[in-house]
Amino acid sequence: MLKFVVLSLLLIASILTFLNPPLAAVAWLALVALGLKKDRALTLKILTRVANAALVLLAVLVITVAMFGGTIAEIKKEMIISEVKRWVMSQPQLVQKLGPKVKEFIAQQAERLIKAEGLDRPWYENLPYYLSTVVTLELRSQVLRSNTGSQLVRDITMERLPRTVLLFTTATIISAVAGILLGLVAARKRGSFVDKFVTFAALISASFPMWWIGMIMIQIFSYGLNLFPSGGMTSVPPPKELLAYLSDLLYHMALPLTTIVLVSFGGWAYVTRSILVGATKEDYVLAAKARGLAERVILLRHVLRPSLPPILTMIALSLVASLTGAIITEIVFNWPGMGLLYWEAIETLDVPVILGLTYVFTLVFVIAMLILDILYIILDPRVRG
Amino acid sequence: MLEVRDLKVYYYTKKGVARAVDGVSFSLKRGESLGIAGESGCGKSTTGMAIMRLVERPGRIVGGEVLLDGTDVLKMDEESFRREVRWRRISMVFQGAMNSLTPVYTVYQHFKETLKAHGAYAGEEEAREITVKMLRMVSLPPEVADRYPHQLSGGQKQRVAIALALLLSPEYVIADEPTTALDVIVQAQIINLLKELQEKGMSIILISHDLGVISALSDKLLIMYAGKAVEYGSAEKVLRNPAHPYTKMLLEATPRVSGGELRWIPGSPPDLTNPPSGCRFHPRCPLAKEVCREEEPKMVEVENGHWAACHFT
Amino acid sequence: MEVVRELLSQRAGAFGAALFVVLLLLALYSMSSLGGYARLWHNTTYWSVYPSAVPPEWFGKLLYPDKVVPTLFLDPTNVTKKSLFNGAATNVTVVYEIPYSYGGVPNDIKLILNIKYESAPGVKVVFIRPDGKAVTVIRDSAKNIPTIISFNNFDQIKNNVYTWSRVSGVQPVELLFKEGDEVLKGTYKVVVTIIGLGEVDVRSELVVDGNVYGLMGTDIFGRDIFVYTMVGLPYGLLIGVLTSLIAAVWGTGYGLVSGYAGGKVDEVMQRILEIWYSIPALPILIMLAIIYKPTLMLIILLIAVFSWMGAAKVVRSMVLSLKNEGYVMAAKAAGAPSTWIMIKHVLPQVLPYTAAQVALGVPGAILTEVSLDFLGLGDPNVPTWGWMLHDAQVYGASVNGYWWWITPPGLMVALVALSFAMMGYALDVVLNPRLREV
Ligand SMILES: Nc1ncnc2c1ncn2[C@@H]1O[C@H](COP(=O)(O)OP(=O)(O)OP(=O)(O)O)[C@@H](O)[C@H]1O
Ligand SMILES: [Mg+2]
Repeated sequence: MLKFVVLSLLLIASILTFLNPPLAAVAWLALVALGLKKDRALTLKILTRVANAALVLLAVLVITVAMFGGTIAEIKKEMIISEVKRWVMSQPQLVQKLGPKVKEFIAQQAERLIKAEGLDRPWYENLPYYLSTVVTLELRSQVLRSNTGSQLVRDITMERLPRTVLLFTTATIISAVAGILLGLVAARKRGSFVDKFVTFAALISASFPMWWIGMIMIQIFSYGLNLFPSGGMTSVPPPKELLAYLSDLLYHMALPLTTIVLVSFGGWAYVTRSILVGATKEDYVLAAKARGLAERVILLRHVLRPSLPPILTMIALSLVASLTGAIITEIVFNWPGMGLLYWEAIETLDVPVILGLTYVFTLVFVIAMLILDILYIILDPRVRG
Repeated sequence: MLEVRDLKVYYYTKKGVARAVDGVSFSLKRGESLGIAGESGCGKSTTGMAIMRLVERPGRIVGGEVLLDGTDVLKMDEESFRREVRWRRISMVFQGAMNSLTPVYTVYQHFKETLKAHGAYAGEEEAREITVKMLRMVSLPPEVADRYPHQLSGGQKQRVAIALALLLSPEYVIADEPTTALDVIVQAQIINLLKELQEKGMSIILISHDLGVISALSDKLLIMYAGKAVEYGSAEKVLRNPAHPYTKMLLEATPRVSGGELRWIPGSPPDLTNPPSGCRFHPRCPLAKEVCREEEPKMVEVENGHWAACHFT
Repeated sequence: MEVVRELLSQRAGAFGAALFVVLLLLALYSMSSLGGYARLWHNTTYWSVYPSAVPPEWFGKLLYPDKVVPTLFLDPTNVTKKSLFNGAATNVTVVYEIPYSYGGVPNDIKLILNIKYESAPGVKVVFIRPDGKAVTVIRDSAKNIPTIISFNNFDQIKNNVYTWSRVSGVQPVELLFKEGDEVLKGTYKVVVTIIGLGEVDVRSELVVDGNVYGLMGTDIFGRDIFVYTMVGLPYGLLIGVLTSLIAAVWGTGYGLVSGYAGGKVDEVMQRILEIWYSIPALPILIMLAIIYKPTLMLIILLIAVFSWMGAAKVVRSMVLSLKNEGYVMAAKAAGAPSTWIMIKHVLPQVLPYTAAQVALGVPGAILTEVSLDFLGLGDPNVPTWGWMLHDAQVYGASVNGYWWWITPPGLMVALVALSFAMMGYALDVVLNPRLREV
């Protein structure tokens, strides 16, 4: 009963966070109060974790901003100066009018722009401004725009995020399900063909760069056999009708999806297998068998259930890794997600976008770790203390 | 009546076949208790596991019979053995019982699922009642029921394991080193507990390398060496009049309250994948002669109800 | 040593070790006989005479055996130098003969003309086919002519050939070598005539670019893929091993101190470890690389900074269990200083685990470095496999079907990673008996 109340409250609070922050705050507070009353130690532990996560986020942000404050400011200044120069030189009348004062004029204009961007101040003075704008993603990009033309980093990022999620989360789910099932079979039939295959696939997973496999896949299926498009998310222009659009999307997704699954399911299977093989060798599994429990009950309750925490760790870590791994794979497949955006931002040195994206990556990472920690606390009584 | 005849359990390892139990026999009437003693690695636990049919890869029961009131349980199919015999009629307290509780479940959940597995579960309330009763039997307070294993001390876990073993009131309980790694007071408590059970008519097979513990509890005694039974008989007779040199040395190596000089047995037990020829004890035996190297001694009755396997009895 | 023997008794371990030895030998070969090529990585002039983006020779022989054209480096068959008007002018004639019996068209023809002159001489280049037809492909002043003349790309030649054949939109070399659909066999001639005032000195070479090259073909700049695949090997090994070694050594030290010290120190160090775990490494690395434009050594350090946590964790838990072992307790009771106990008693026990961590860390390290290079963020002066793949991506190797450009560097990365993954896997099995198969 209590469990149910807490869970539903948690769900409500989480959803509200996106819809109505003030109301969500109330819900969270209620949850904390309830927790403190019912299970003080557990609640405190979870709160510590949350604080920890916030700390990491802050640390990464400060470091990033500090780094950008130094070197990037210099690069930007040079870029601004050369751009002003080019702009002035492209107007012969202006140059003529200014005569020998042209250098001075350029310096002045550049100075003005540099001041406007706050590049003349040391990074720590920019820190509060940067931090507040980064956290809310209310930065303005310098070069890149969203499809709708917005310069707000939030708009640009939010437009890309679903695409990355679409590709990588789908791929992760497919490889997780396939991998875990395969790992289960391998663990139950050790030394069998499936078992050997799992080890083999895991070695492949660990050794080949995903994006390289991607390049090879394009080579074979796009260039060689001409079966799939070599990149992009939809045809240009995308089909109007929903059904046609979806099938077009699927057609474009096929190659990257296969690549990701191919490279990652082995790792899943192997880790699952290792965890389960370790788990079946525990003394308490034999003890459960001795007590006369049925095979199925032993497998579910005494092998799988105790292995849940490490398996969840694996799931969370690879979900997160899939997001950062996306950076390069998206470039190879020209998939217009966050990874490709990151790349475009790097190429154009669009500082606010780089900053915002690094923040989003860190945020996703930290939140995943946080959820993982909390799940661990809930699932493993030993951690609960 | 539990009768073990010529039991053989081998482990098929990479190094070779380890004959961990090689032709062990004994019998036990209901209410009688047996002690199995021997040095580490001589096959005591393996014998217990074999009776429960819990020998796992790379081990295999390769021969012999385990007769429970006349039926060979080794020949039963797994499912009916699980339902009818395992835990219901023979249960076991494992060596290192501290690790026999699954860390993610409370003590109560262990009791509950065991009841369920044997169709003895009739609702939450009754199950709780039974749990608390069993815990009280091993002198644990009721709140232990809702604790997780990691919240219990070693001795408490051991007692929970014993309580679990008694849950279905089995006829035979195999207790494998139930007192090792516990402090003296807890040891004494557990021995007393086992004694009480014995008085209530339960048969206990007590496995230990400590003859002192065994002599306090058992009616019969089985001494094992390197997978073989070397001496077997009523506890009183074996202890008073040990016939096998190994038993004698083992007795001398057992500390007694009365004091006296403590000796140990020189040398170490053999590698079971490649045991010595003839009598397996001959390389360490002070009495060893040529025959011992060449011929394996048979179990012979030294006196009424007392057997030993030595050429010089 | 016991560990090494056990490692080799595992099939994966033996395979990984054997692979490693092979790679090491290849790396030594590469360093001793191909080392000079590292400096030529960015030297596009050097490579420009080689055929651009052609597949390996064996591939051509397999797929179109009678169309294969090898690359020919030709010296002049005849050079005549005449002094005119009592030394007031010079006439140099250089004749090349190309004995041609191949069924395919060359990828290109490159004429290297190094002319030393007082005032720019006139240059005429005539191409004479086996059927006797002659085409004047160049007739111009030397100052309008580059040192390396590509028949396919030099505009003047293009125009002259198109005018002569009244066809355009086809590579000039194809037009020169074909009559209709047939490739003409026989002896082709290239006659270069240079007439100039004063002294004129010519050094020249003619290269017929084949449509295949060597063991692994060439990239778009004409660079020999085999050479750079081999040149990349020592770097790949260095990067993988050094990065992983630094990470493992640091992690071991960290775990040792954290585990041995215990208490508050341990708690703080564990908290730091946790925080380190929750930093997304790749994005941060990318950013650092953009900002600092690091050298190879710095990149190695940076990657190590983000990969020591696993070793720290493993070592710490090992130390925690070792701390309660009899001999450590005894040493402690005897009043031995902690540092001494750690180094004398704990460290030797932990080292095999460190070794396993080194091996297991190599694949991640090398994959990360390759990724950075692939993004163009690595050290540009080091010809690594990552840079090869970077160039391949930038020049559209996958969409153009240059598989020979993509395959070797990626495979090598995988082989290095695989060799260590297998050794690490075997070590892991040796060290954790629970994983061992029965
Ligand atoms: N899983 C196994 N694989 C291989 N050999 C095994 C295995 N289990 C036990 N053995 C071998 O079987 C022999 C008997 O083991 P067993 O556990 O029965 O000894 P024990 O008498 O209970 O010893 P202890 O007093 O130390 O508990 C030992 O020599 C051991 O090496
Ligand atoms: Mg035992």
